[in-house]
Formats: sequence, structure tokens, C-alpha cells
Amino acid sequence: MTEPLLQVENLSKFYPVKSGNLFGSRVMRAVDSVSFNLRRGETIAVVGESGCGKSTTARMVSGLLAPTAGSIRVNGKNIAGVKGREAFALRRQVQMVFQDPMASLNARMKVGAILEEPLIIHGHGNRAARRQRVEELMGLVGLRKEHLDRYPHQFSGGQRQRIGIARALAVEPELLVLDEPVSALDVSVQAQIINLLKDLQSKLGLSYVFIAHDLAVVKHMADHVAVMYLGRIIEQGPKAQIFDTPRHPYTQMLFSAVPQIGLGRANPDRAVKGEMPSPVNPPSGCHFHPRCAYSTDACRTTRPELADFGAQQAACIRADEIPAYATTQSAPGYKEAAAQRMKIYHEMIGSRQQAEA
Amino acid sequence: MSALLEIDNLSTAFATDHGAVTIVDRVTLSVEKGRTLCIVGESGSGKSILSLSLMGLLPASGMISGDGVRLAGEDLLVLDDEEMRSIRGRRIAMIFQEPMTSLNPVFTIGDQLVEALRSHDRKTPTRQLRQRALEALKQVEMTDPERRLGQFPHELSGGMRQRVMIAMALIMQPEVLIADEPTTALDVSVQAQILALIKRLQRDTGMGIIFITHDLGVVSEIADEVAVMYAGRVVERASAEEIFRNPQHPYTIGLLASVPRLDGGEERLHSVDGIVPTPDRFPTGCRFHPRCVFADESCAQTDPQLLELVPGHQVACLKVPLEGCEK
Repeated sequence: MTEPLLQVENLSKFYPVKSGNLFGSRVMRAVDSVSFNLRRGETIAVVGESGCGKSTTARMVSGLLAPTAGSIRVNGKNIAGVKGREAFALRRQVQMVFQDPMASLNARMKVGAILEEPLIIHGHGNRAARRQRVEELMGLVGLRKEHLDRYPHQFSGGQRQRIGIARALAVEPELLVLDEPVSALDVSVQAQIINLLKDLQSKLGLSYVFIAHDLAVVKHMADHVAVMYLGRIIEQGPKAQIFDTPRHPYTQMLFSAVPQIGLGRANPDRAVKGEMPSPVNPPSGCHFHPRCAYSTDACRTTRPELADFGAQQAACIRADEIPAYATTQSAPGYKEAAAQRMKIYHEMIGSRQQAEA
Repeated sequence: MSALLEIDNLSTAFATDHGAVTIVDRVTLSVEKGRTLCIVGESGSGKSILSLSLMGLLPASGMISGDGVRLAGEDLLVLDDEEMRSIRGRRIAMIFQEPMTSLNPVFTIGDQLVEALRSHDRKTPTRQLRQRALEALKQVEMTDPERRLGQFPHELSGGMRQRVMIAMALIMQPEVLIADEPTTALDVSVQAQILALIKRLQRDTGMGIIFITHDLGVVSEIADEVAVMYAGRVVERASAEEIFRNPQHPYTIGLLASVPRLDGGEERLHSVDGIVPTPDRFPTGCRFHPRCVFADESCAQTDPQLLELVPGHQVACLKVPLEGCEK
């Protein structure tokens, strides 16, 4: 039995919040006892709406933020409490890719310098060796090495995200934390980046923690899924199970929100209800109960713990009673028509590649 | 009967150091009362410049030409600035992608809604306008509307800010709403709510909507008609049902293939490789040909016209019907 590459256990991040009350401060539980494992070469998607704590989790795993409690083990070594020289070495193993490459790439540095910086910091060879590695990185992410002298603004959004990925890969990490890397991109470019990330994973044996809010994207990226709500994981498990039988009403709600071609469901009777409340003052019992169609009095008072349902876990005291949810509803006709066009499209790409070869 | 809004052969060019560059090229579209036209395309397709042209909000270097933009029969292109100002907001309104940059951070929600009303109404006392502002917030299903009036934009979530933008756009009960990627910056769950809200408001008011997006998943949720734009031109136009059952332009098919789907397999996503060229580098012939897997030499030379393939379905491609896509 091989040890998981990443073991996150009871990870928490609390922030003190000033209150008008004389009797001290309250805490905001941005992340509250989150635990998950990730094996080498696999991807776990952490899914949820803005404010659910998924990005805070990502920042702690990548070492950008110190946890309040809990441990983050990479190859068995806890990176959470480590400082100094040791932390520096451990951090090389985990790198991060951000949502908005325009904000995370230094606008005044040329791409060559951006990619060389982590190599200098981590003492990678001499100048010539670094130059060679930088060119290699450009090739790895599908960019031309002639463009090393350009600035970030001279690239398109998709190309900038490729640069962000190349920078993260520079020091040969084992784990990439991807914080919504495709959310800000056009759908056509999004597909290119998803395909690139999958290619890199199989080529380099990388593991991914993939932060997302769109379950359709998750379907193409993940092996495991963890759904977060107000700082807690409320459902997790292998992707196949989560997509076949989502148990938690919140997971079901996230599925119902994904636009599906041909269904035309943007109608006023839509299932998505309310917004996520503030983590400063979360609802009692199950945090989701005010938005939940199945909630009872017990849900207001009982905090549900994650319970096993086969290979998956869900934190809902009524999970047994909740009706099955069909995540893959499809309008008749559209799927077939689209499939036929895709086939023609695909054949055409195939024959073109043959002709070029 | 003529359409509510008719865009007739509209072009928009910008003066640059290298001469005029045409961003929107001879676009003809129409929206009916109570219907939604989706304009689909990637960044750089000209869809946002088209919507700014309709609103009369182009920067000074922008030049519009064409045979007309008719709102209920009245040509907006011949209006002067003053006349256009009275139409804008009152008869055509617009919402944008990022409500945080469209709202003024130093004024309360209530002040900004009253301001929107005041610009078209100099007489009514402010107290009454504030009442109307409150009703506008209720109309967009804002929680706790009385309190929101006194709050600032940064105190609201992204979804609530977009609701404020919609309330502001609809406060004068416009006949046409132009929505430029209003849900792109939002979570899918909030997106679903906003789409449902827009749909309900349309049902209640009968407004015509031009909805701009790059996501065909969103299109299928909200569109009645669809126009696909590429590099400033409309390359395919049909009803929403027809676009999804019988997509013909290789670009449309490529966009469709790149949408991650819950009901699809987990196989590799198809992607339209490359990016939209910038307007000073538009290729000759069909502007899509360098990225097109179906293109041959003729596509680099001949400019394809938008032709009717079957009634109500127009495509600008020399290769249609594609082999196997005849029906």
C-alpha cells in the first residue's frame, strides 16, 4: 500500500472578527476541519461557490497561508508547521497556478525572466542551464521560445495562463494547486488549457488539487471530488460516485446550476435558492439548512458529520431519504445531433494531422 | 410586422495610426418583442463593440456606418447626442460583465438607483423616486431590499451587485435590454439564478433582449435566436433549436465541441486551436480559415457571404453543407 502523496487532516483557518460587543471577538471559520487525501498522479477537485473556503484551502496547501490548526503532509512530511530552510525545500514540491494570470504575472518582467526567477531562487544550475530549462518549459506548455522576450500583456488570456503553468512547473514540483485556472477564460480557450493540464499530468506524473465551481469542468479533470460549503467539506468521494449519485442536497443544487445544452432550463422555477450566508455568522446546525429543500427542525439543531455511503461520504442527516438526482439529464435529439457533428469534426482534425505528418 | 430592434448592415471602424480598422463588419440582426437574441463569440469577435455601437457609447475614435439601427421603426443612427441620451437608459438599457466596475463605489445603491431615474425625470420629488428604487430592488428579488438601499456596492456579493445592475437597467422599463456577458464573472449557481431572473423579467415586461456570451451552454438556457460572430462578422444565424440540432459553420461546431458537458463522456475536449486575429491582421477570404479544419485554398481567397441554407438558417462558409451535415 503506497502512502498518498498529499494527506490533509483537520485543516482549519480561523480569522478573528471585530464585533461591536464588549465581550471579545468572534472567529470566522473560513476553513473548518477539512480532511482529504490525494494519490500520486491523480486529481482532486475542491468544488463550491465563492466564499466556501476552497481558495483558502488551496493557499494553505501551497504554503502561502499558515493554518490555524491541522496538518498537511506531502510524502509523509508535515509542511504546515515547518519554517526556514526546511520549509524552503519542502515548498518546491508544491506549486500554485492562479485564476487570473494578468494579476499573478509581473507586468514589468519579460516572460523569460518570469520563468527564470523560480530557478534562480531554488539555485538551479548556471545561466546557460537555466536558459535551457526556460526554453524547455515554453515548449512544454505549447508556447514558442521566440516569445521569451515579450511582456505578459502581449499574450492572450489563454497564453498567459500557459505562462502561469510553466512558472509553476519550473522547479519540478510533484503537486500543483490550481486555483480556478480556467474560470476567467473563454470556453474555447478553457478547453485548450484543460487538455494541456491533462497532457502535462500524464507526461510528468503530476498530482493536482483543482479548485473549481463548475462541475462540468470537474468532470473532465478530476478523479476525486470534495464539495465545500461554508468552510466544511459536505460531500466527497470518487468522481464516478459523486456524479452518479450525489447525496448531499447542496451537491445536487450545484449540478442543477450547470447549463446543459438543449435543456433550456433557465426558467423562474429553477432549483437554485438563495446565496451562501456569511461565514462570520453561519446558520446553526447544518450550514445549508436555510437553502435546503429537504430541511427539517433537526437540521437546524444538529451539525451533520460526514458519513460513509459506499465509497463516498456525505454530511447530511437525511441523506438516506433524499431522492436520487439525475445529473445527466439531456434533451432528446440534441445529444445525437451534436455527437454526429463532433464525429465529423474529429475525423477532419484526424485526417488533417495525417496529411501534415 | 417589423422587428422591435433591427440592425441593418452595421459597421463600426476605429481610426488608428495605420488608418481605419473595421471591428464590426456589415452586421444585420434583429430582435423581436419578448424574444432573446444571443450573440456568441470569443474575445475579439467584435460582439462588445457591436453592443456599444447600439447604445451610442463608442469612444470618439469610433465611426459607425450602415443602413440603420431601427428601434420600433425609428432610426437611431441619425439621432444627435442629446436625442440619443434620452433614448439610452429609457428605451434601450445595458448591463455589463463586471458590476463592480459599473457601479460607483462611493454612492449607496439607493442613491445610484435614484440617479438613474433622475436623469430622465427632473420633476418628481426624491422621496417618490426612492420608493420606486425600492420597488425596483424588489422586482429583481433582492433580499432585504430596504437595507440594500443604504448599502455600498462593496457590501454586496457579486450576484447581488448584478441584481442591482439589472434593477438599474430596467428601472425606466426599456423596450430593449443589452446584456454583455452579465454572468461570466459569477459562480455557476449564481449564474443560474441571474439567468432565471432575466427570463422572468422578460416574461413580465415583454422586453427584447440581446444577450452577449461566449458560452454555448448559457446560450441554450436563454436564447430564442442565435448569431455566431467571428472577427467582426456574423458567420451563422438561426433559431436556438436549429443551432444546437444542426450547427453548420465549422466555428460553431468547434465552439460547441469545446463546452464541457455533464451529459457527455470524459473524453478529451475538442478545442478550436489558435485565437481570434486582431483587426489589423484579419486574414483574406474567410477570416476563420487559418483555424478551420475544413478549409482549403479557396477559403483563403473567397470571402464567404451569409447565405440561407434552409429557411431561417444562414451560414457564411464555402464548405457548407459539410459532408455528412446535409440535412
